[in-house]
Amino acid sequence: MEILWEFIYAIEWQQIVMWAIGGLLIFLAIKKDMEPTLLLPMGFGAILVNLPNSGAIGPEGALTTLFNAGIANELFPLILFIGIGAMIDFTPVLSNPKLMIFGAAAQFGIFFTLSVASLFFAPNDAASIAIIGAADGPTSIFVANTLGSQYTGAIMVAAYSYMALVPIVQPPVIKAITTKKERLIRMDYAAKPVSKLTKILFPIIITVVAGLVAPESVALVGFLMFGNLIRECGVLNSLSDTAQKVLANLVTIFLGITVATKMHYEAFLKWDTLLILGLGLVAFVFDTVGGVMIAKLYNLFAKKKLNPMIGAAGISAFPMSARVINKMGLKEDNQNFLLMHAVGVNVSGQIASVIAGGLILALFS
Amino acid sequence: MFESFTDVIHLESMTDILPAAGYGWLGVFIVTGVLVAAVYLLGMFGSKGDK
Repeated sequence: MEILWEFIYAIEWQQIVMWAIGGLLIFLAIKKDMEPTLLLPMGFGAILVNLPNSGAIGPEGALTTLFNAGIANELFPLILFIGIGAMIDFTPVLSNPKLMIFGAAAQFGIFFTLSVASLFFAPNDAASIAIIGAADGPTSIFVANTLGSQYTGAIMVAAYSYMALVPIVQPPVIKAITTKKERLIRMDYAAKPVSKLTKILFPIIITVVAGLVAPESVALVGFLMFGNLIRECGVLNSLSDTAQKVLANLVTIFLGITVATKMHYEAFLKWDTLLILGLGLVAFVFDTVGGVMIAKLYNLFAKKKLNPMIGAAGISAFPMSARVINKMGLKEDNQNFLLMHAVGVNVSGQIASVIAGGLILALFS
Repeated sequence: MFESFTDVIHLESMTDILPAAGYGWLGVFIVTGVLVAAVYLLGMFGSKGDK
């Protein structure tokens, strides 16, 4: 009985705050359907690691073992990328390759945030915080971990929270920087046939080009493209199916709960965490601005105008952002279907965000 | 008691990092540009594969 009281007296108020944060993440996952596959394990993990004398962490703790086995060596995010690569259909980009430029444009938020974050944080932490703007969880984990950031937990929470909040964050920003006339621009979609050979060569060429130009990105790009090659080769359907479902789900379970080891109150409950959440928002806002503004710039020279809203889908956050843009287009004009164009930009953003992650690593590791 | 402005805000770090940020974004465009060119080439030659 005395031991029980000892444990109860060992509770710190900061741990109770972390239980509340864990509870909030679980609530958002279940009730609001916000990135439940990650926010729920992270929320539960936040409670687990913040129990007094928690046996889940510490040198012998199960979560510490999982962290060392899967995150410290970047294995989990890379394996998850195989699953993500197997899920992505690059056909919309292959039938209209110029859309890839808007994926690059929408990485602006990463580099803008990098500049702002460097005012408050050491370069490796600033770069890790900036990569929240990649709107891609595995890339954020990979970069933050490789750069040895002490803020991995806060970066993860910010990255996944804002990815879930894309339908709330992007529309007001897009509306603020576009005119109604621009939002009404219609874009016809005529699907161009893409050969099987092209689909097979695409992941190989992307890996080679990205590897030659930005060698640090080759693990991220390579695993993503390996997953895509399994999907497109046509002879590994059961592997593709496994990568998309079983493998991705399995790694996601471990990734979410293991990331929570970085949510111990001593590392998490700091003013820095609030600042990181603020900088994450800056990254998402300026990603959106970058994508839309380059699309507007394109329209100055193009005969056939694009609806600049599709530029915002380059933020990655696949497929949420594409859906948001399509919904906004339909709201302005119920016959304006932008989905396929936005999906093309969205998958381009997936590639560009990985390239941006590789370049950040090249610049700061 | 309070940290001075220069203790919290590191302007010199920002001036160091700004060029890297600029090169970083430019780098994303350059790599993407190469990829776009590669995809156009693929489209040109890859379509023969299904014939």
